[in-house]
Amino acid sequence: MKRALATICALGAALAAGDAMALAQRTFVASYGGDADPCSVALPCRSFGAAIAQTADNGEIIVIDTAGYGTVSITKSVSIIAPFGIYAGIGVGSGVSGVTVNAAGIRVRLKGLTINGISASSRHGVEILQAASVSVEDCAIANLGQYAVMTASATDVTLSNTTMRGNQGGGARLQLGALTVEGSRVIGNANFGISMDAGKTTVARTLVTANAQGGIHVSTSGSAGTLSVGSTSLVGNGTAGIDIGSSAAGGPARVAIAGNMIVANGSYGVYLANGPGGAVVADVGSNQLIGHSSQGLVTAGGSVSARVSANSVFGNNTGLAQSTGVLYTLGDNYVRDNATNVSGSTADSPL
Amino acid sequence: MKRILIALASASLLAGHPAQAAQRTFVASTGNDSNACSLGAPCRLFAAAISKTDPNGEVIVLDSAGYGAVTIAKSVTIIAPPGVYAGVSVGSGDGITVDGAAIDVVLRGLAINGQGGVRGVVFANGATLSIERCIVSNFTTNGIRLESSGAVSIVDSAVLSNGGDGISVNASSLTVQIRRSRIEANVGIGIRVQSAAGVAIADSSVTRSGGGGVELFVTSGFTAKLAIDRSLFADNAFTAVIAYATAPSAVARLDIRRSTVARNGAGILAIATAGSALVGALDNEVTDNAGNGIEANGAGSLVRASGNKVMRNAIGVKQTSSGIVYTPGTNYVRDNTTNDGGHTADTRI
Repeated sequence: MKRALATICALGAALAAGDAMALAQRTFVASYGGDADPCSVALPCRSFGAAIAQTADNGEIIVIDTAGYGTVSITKSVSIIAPFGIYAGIGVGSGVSGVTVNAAGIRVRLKGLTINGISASSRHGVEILQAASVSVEDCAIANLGQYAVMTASATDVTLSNTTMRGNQGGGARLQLGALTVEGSRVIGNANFGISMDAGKTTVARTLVTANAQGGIHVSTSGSAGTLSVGSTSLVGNGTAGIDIGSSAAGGPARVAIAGNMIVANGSYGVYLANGPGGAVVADVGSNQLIGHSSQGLVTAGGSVSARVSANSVFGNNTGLAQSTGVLYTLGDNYVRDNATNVSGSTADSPL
Repeated sequence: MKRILIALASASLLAGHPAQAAQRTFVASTGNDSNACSLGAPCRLFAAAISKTDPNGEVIVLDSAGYGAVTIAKSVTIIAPPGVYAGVSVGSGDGITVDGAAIDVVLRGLAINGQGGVRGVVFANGATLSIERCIVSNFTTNGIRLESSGAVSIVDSAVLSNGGDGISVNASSLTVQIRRSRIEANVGIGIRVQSAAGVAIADSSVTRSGGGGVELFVTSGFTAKLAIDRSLFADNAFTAVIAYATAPSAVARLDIRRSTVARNGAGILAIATAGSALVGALDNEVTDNAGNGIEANGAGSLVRASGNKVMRNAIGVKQTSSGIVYTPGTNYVRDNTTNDGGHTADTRI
C-alpha cells in the first residue's frame, strides 16, 4: 500500500513537472525560461524549438509572457498558443522561414503569433512542406522576403483573423491542397494578396487591399482548381481585384464570386481567362464592380463561361465585357455610368 | 560574476544588439528611455523605442501605461497586445504623426486620447499605414487625418467624440479601407473625403455625428470614388450619405449597398452645383429620416437606385433642379410623407 502510494506520488510529480524524460502533453515558454529546463509551467523553456522537442504528439505549447521565441520547425502534431494579452514574436532572418511545418499527416495550430521578417532575404512566415492540416489564428505575419503563408503540399490550411502585410512575395499562396482565409487582412504585399496554383481556395469576410500585383490570383497548372470568394473587400490592388488563369497553362477552374466589394483596382475588377489546358466556369453574383480603368468584369478566354447576376457595375471604362468566351447576364445586373456599359454579353433566363 | 556574464550574454542574444538598433524593442511602465529598450531593460516611451528599432522592426508594449505622442519617420509596427492598455494622451499638437517617404507603419492596440490635442493620427507622408484595434477620441479637430498618397487601412477601430470631422481624407492618389470600425459622436462630419483614388467602407457604423455621416466633397476637377457596403448610418444630424461636386469636371462617385440609413437629417443625396455627383444606391434600408430618403439635386447629379426599401421619410424619392433618380422598378417606396418626388425609369441587363 505504502509502495503504491509512493508510485502514485511519483507519477503525479512527473505529470505536474513535465518530467524531462517523458514528453509532456503541455509545455511552456517564457522570457525568463531556459532551454535546459523541462518546459514545465514552473520551469519554462526559452524557445519554441526546445519546447516542441519536449512536447508529446497532439500536445500544446503555451506562451507565458511577452518576448520573442525564435523560428521553429514542426514535425509533430502540436498547438502553439499565445493567449490574448501576450506578444509572442518570431523574428525571421536570412534564408529561413518563421515556422516550417514538415511531417506527413500532422495537425498543427498556431495562435497569437507575430512573425516578422528582419531580413529582405528571409523566406516565408509559415512554410508548409508536409502536413494534414495547419490552422493559423490571430496571427500577424509581415515583412517577409517571400510569402506570409506558403503551402507546397496537399494540406488543409485555415487562416483566421490573421494579418498578412508588406511581404515581398505575397500574402497566402497555395500550390496544392486547400486554403480557407476568413476574417483576415491581406494588405500591401508586393505580389498577389492571395494566389492559387491548384487546389481549393475559399476567402470570406476578408480585406484584400493595396497588393501590388493584384488581389486574388488563380493560375491553375494541370489539376483542377476551385475558388470561392464571398463578403470580401477587394480594393486598390494592382492589375485586378480577382484574376483567373491569365498567365498560365492550366487545368479547369471553377469560380464563385459573390457579395463582394470590388472597387478601384488597377485595370480590372474581375478578369476571367483560361490557359490552354482547360475551361473556366464562373458565377459572379451580387458584387459591386466599380471604378476600374479597363473593365468591371471581362471574359477574356475562349473557354470561359461566366454567369453574371445581380451585380452593380458603375464607373468603369467598360462595365461588362464579353471579349472571348461567353458572358451570360440574367437581366438583373445594374450596369450604368460606365464609358461603355456592356460590350457583348448573352442574355440568360431564370428557371 | 561568471553567472552575471552569462546572463548578460544571453540577454544580448535575445534582444539583438542592446547598444545598437534592434529588430524588436520594448516599452513598459517601469521602463527608462536611457535603457536599450530590450525586454530586460525596456524604455518608457514610444519615441525612444522607435529610435532604437530597425526599419521594419517592432515596438512591443509590455504593460498598461501611457507611452507618449510620437512622430514616426521609419517603417515600424507598434503593438499593444489585447489586454494591455497603451495610451497616447495629447495635450497639444497631434498624437501620432506618420511622416517619412515610402515608410510602412502599423499601429495596433493604441488608445489615443486628446486632452487639448489637435488631431489624433496624421498620415502626412508614407507608403502605407494600418490602424488596427485603436481608439481615437476627444481631439479638437480631426480624429484621423489622411493627407499623403499611399494606402491606409483602418480596421477594428473607433473614432469617437472629436471636435471636427472624425476621419478626414484629402490626397489624390490615396486608397483608404475602413472595415469593422465605429465612427461615433464626432462634432463635424463622420467621414469626410475631399479627394482620394478610392475609399471603401465596409461593416462599419457612422452614428451621432454633429454634421453629416459620410460626405464625398469634390471641389476641383478630378474624380473621387467612395464605396460603402454593409454599414450603418444612424442619428447623424445632417444628411447621412452625400456625394457633392462643386467644380466643372469634378466627379464625385459614391456607391452604397446593403446598408442601413436611419433617423438622420436626411438619407442619401447626390448634389452638384457644377461637375457630376454620381450615386449608386442598391439594396439599402432608408427609413425614418427627417428629410428626404433618396435625392438628386442639380443638373450634374444622378442616382441609380435599385432594390432599396425607402419608408417613413419626408419625400421617399426625389429629383430636383434637373437632377435624375433612375429607378428600374425594383425599389419599395412606401409610407413616406410623399412617396414619389419624381423619378426616371431605367432598365437592367
